[in-house]
Amino acid sequence: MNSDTPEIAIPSDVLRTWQRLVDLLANIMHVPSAVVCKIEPPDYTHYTVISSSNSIGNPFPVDEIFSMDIGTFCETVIKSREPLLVANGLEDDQWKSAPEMRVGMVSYLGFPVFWPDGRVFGTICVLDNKTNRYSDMYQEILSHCRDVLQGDLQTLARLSSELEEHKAHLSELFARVPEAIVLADRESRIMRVNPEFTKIFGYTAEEAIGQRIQDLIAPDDLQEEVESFMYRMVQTGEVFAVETVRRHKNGTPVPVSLICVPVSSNGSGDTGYVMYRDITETKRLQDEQRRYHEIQLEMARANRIATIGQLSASIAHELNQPLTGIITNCSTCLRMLTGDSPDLDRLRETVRRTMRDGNRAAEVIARLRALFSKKDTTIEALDVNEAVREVIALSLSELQRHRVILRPELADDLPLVTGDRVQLQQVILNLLGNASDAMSTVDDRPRDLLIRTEREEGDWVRFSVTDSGVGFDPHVVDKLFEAFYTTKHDGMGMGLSVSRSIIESHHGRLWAAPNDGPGATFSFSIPCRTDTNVQ
Amino acid sequence: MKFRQEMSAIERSPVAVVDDDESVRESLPDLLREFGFTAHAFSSAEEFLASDSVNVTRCLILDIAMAGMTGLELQRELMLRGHEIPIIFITAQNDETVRAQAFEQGAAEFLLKPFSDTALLSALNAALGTG
Repeated sequence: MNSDTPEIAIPSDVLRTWQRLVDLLANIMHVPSAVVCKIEPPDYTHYTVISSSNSIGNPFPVDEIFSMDIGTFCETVIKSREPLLVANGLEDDQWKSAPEMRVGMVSYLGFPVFWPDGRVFGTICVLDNKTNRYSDMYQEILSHCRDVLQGDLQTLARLSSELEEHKAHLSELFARVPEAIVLADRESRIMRVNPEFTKIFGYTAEEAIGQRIQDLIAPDDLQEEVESFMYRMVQTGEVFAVETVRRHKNGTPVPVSLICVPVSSNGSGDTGYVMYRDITETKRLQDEQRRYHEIQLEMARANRIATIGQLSASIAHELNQPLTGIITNCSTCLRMLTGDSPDLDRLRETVRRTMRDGNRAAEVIARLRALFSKKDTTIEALDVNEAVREVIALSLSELQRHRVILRPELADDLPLVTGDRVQLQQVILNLLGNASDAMSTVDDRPRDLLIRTEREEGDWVRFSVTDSGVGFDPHVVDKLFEAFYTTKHDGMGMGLSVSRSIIESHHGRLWAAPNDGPGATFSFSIPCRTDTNVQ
Repeated sequence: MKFRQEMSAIERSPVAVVDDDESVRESLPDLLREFGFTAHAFSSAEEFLASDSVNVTRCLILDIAMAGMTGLELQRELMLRGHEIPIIFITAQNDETVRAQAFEQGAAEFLLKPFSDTALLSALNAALGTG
């Protein structure tokens, strides 16, 4: 033990065994007094009798204090750290004026008792009112009792050092944990707080201790909540956690996540610990994420509307072509019917073509209905090739108008994927539109657009669009997918960021790579459907 | 028949249709024949330029948005080659810039698909100077 560690108190149960020991000693050795003394730190100017035999004629009661400068036998043993045997002090010049002589104790046998670290604890000794030479056996008994005492001291020192260590750990935890900790009694009065408590709630330990939790940090409408928590701790003894709001000294509400840990009270009156974590930042992040998610959804909606806008031109084209055929055929029929002898074969042929054009118009409508179905998301097993073909059919005339030469290379053995067809088609449409835009200024080479689907290893389906356009700066490849990043004069910078979030929601990835030659390739991969039982 | 008599001046005049849409290529020549014209249909500007019709056609009914050479490009090409064929543009897309450019390049008429037979007839009359 270090000398700076606090003095170890001798517990009452240990004192009780020592008491039995001195009683036995006095009995066995037929002496009136057997005593254990303890030198008192920190000054070591006096010692105290801590155990004294209950025997007739014993002049030393427990708790009697002796000064260390009066020349007692024990004083000598403590100072010399050596055993001492005095057969009869009255016959010895050195001892005849010793204080013990005055109470009739003329002989003495004592051993010093040491702490495990070598410091003197005190003495164990026997005294007699007559000459006593204390036989070797008696000396051995006393020496053995001294060893028993030292064994007890060793255990005490070890336990104490462990306890100190635990206390130190606990104190460190208490001081450093990033949560406010309050130790409260059953009236919810604050017994102890840690530094984080001051940080979170603004009250110093001095201000907090003695106050009731609810009076100090609960908002007015949550006073009863605190009481119910304290009641629950006492009643159930269970640990529980709650998210709620407390109040800073300056009146600001503090959103907290609190944990109540009841302690089994050893009659100490403690009810338990309440730990508070300030979740202001967590809440803020959650709100931010929610807002970000809302913006993403909003962007997806806006993208959908923009897509519809882009498509309306080609829709008009797709519908007006068959309508032109229908109206022209009908005009022809009417004119033929007003003639003298209508050519029935030609009439029949014209009506047949009218019907075909009508069906063609109906198909366009059906495709549109599928593409812009009102359902928000529909997860289904779908054929990427089919989805690609539908998008190509709808954007063909627009692509042709921009003199884009379309080269589809759709794999035959493509497995089905699981996903939202409309969303995937938005991505495909967006990539086709970007590719077309990237080639709008290209006049010195064909505006080739390669659309490819393929099966990738590990059951993935890859879709890629390779254009021969202006390409992109490889340094900004990461920026391409950020919202509001655009290289177009009239672009919003939404398409690719929304596309990426759509593909990621399909557990896939979307990326871009510059071509070896001119232009760029945008690709996405999504996992194919693992369940073969397609509905 | 009154209608036929009115048309007599231009009867049998060859009219060419250039459109990449099959419905239009099939239906329009029939109607033109009902009007009394001789009609030929071509699926692309290139096909028309390569044919004999380019020398004999009295009027060209021309689509704007086509794969390969567009309607406006064919119009310029014909001017460059010295063919002064009146052109009636037909398009499914109502694009003011394209319309303005077509007239600037000397278009006779600009019709939005779908159009009525009477609108087509007035356009033909205007193009052929027979109205």
